[in-house]
Amino acid sequence: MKLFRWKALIPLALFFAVVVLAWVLFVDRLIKLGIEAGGTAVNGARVELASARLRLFQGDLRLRGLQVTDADQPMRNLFAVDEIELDLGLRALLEKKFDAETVAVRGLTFGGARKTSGALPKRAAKTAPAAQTRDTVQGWAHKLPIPSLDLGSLGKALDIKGVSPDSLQSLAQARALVGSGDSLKTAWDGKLAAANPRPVIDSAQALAKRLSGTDIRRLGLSGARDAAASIRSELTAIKGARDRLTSLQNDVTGQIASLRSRAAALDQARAADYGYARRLVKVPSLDPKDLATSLVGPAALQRMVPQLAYLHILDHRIPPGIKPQRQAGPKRARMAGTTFVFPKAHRYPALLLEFAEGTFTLPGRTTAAGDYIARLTGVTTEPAVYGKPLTFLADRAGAVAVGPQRIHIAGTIDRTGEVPRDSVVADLTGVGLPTLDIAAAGARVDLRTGVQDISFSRVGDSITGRWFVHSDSVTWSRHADSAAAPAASAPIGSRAWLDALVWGAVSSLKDVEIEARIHGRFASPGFDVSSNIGGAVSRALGQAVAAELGRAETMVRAKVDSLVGPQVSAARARLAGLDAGPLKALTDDRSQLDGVQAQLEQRLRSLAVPGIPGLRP
Amino acid sequence: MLLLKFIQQLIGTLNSDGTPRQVAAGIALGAVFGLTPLMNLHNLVLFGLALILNLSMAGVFLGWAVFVPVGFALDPLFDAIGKALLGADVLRPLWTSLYNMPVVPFTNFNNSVVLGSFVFWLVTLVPFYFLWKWAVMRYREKVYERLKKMRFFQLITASKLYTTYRSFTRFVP
Repeated sequence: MKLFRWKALIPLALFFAVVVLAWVLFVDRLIKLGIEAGGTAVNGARVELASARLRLFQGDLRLRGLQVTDADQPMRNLFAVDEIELDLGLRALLEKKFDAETVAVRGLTFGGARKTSGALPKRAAKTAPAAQTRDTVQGWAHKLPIPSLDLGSLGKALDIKGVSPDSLQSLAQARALVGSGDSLKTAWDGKLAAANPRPVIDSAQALAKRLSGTDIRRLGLSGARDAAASIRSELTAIKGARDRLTSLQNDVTGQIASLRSRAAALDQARAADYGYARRLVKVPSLDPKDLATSLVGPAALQRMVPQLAYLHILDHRIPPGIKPQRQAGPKRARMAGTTFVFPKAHRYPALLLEFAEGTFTLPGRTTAAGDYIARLTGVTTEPAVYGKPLTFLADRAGAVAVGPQRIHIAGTIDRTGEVPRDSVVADLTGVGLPTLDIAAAGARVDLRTGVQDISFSRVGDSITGRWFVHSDSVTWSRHADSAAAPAASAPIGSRAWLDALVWGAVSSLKDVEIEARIHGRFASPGFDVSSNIGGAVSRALGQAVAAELGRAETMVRAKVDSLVGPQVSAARARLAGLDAGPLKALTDDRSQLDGVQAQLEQRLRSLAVPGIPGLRP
Repeated sequence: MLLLKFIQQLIGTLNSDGTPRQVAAGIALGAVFGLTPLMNLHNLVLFGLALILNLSMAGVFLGWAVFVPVGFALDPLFDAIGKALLGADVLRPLWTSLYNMPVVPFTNFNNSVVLGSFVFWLVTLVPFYFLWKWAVMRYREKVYERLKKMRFFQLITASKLYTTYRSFTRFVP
């Protein structure tokens, strides 16, 4: 029987011809459908593509008429592109990877109107990664500590009973310090007893006394040798005792230094406790920073949330390092299973856009109108495999007719190593600035045009972010309900009174500067705001309620001091006790050892006879 | 209708002109299309091989049809086998090389169900061949003679579909 059925070659060739024909006929449509389906799933709103054209052997892919809907405004596009031309690496395609060596983008426009709504059914929109990321970041932003501006306690008797000792940081730290001091003292007492040099000192002193005044001639040669041997033996014992004491002393000195630094931090903790107690009994802070954070913090944070959302996406989509990864398998009638990814350094990552450049024009006479140039390098899903960071740059191109004098946005997203390093800088001069709603004061400030700087830097788990705006032509307006409230008759501390006070302080400000900063660990960063708005409100509040606030501040401090003071004193006493106890005992013992060692060495020198074994110097 | 077609195919294949070895080889090879998820490069290659090799195409289709439900049923087992193999540290260099090699990734070997089902098929290929060879021989010797006399069997084999099928399989052993 023949192994091969040669006449089947014709059906086989026909079969493969059908496969190739199907590829030729349908590949463009499949690419179009794939981009639309994938983009829509990620964006949470429709992504549409007019056509896709792949010329495989030329390594050329052209996408025309791309529209990405703004998920928040389904009748508008986030952006639209007339044409994208990608120059593909064929070798990467053979490895089932996508490498766009160069990408040229033509006719990019932002925010255009759509003919039809790009909204998805509610459920699909809500489960889209972009929507989930927005929700996660908004949830994260709401957790940031922004103090509320509440002056309700002014003009009322303060109830300071609510200040609980359990909530005071300095008390907890002082208690811990006392505990540490006690346990260290117990431990050191044991070690000191074990290393007690008294027997060595006594024995050495006895030998020194016995040999004092003796003459080498009376001792004779053998007596002198015995005496010298005894001295050497004692000196060895002294050295051993001193080494033990030195080691113990180093240990004690180090641990006392650590306790001292903890004791020094008690003052800072107590200051934080004053702040906590003040907020608890609703005594307003007059610190301009606190006031600025309360007043413009929420609005400033909203301006920083999009950048943080991008970082959040990166964290989830681009894991650092080269490790096998697991993903859910493709959806199909059969079980999806798990798809393993086995990246390898310096090979093609699954998706790579090596270099992309585009010029675009923002039309009209708005402040952002003008020509721009944007460049992107190293966009990839596996930066560690590619080995280079993602960089991006957007600049104004050509002469400035209208709009901003300077727009410069640049950044680096480096996930090539185990520790992520990202930095973004945006420097925008003469741009249209947002209108900020200062809900805590029932007012709104239109910043109009000015300078806006945004920067983010992130190394591993720690992040610093800054959003800065400056405008010298702001306009103020009041919320309708605040303007209608009768301020003159409003009781001190009431909402109407506060609105009127803040309005009086800020409405004459034409020059406004706001600087918001995020810092600390990415999971739970700190947030604060500086602004001349805070300074103006602080001065107005100080003039209006200085006496009231002074009385409240004194009461709060006294309450905290009464709860914390004894424990802090006890902690400091323990520290002083350690200085005077074990440390002093160690110092005394060492000086006695030094003294007796000097005596014995002096006796040894007096017994020395050159050339005689056992008595050589 | 589908069931009828399947029964006709089963009967037709087992009685086709192919030798029991050809039918058994066809079924054993065709099993891969039922056991592993279909749209993968290895299935295209194996289908080409099935056309070229001198084995029963009817057997190939029968193996495919029989093992489709088996594949669905055994997916959790395939998933476990695939995960164990793909997650094994000792095999990681092999998978990494294959993953970064031209063409091979189109087999989707890095999916647990694909790899698990393919390995399962590969391991059972030879035993299945002998099992099916024995079964076809036994069928032709013992069962066919008895079945032939049954009215149901006569109805089936007399149907138009069966006739059409037979006219097709005359050209392909």
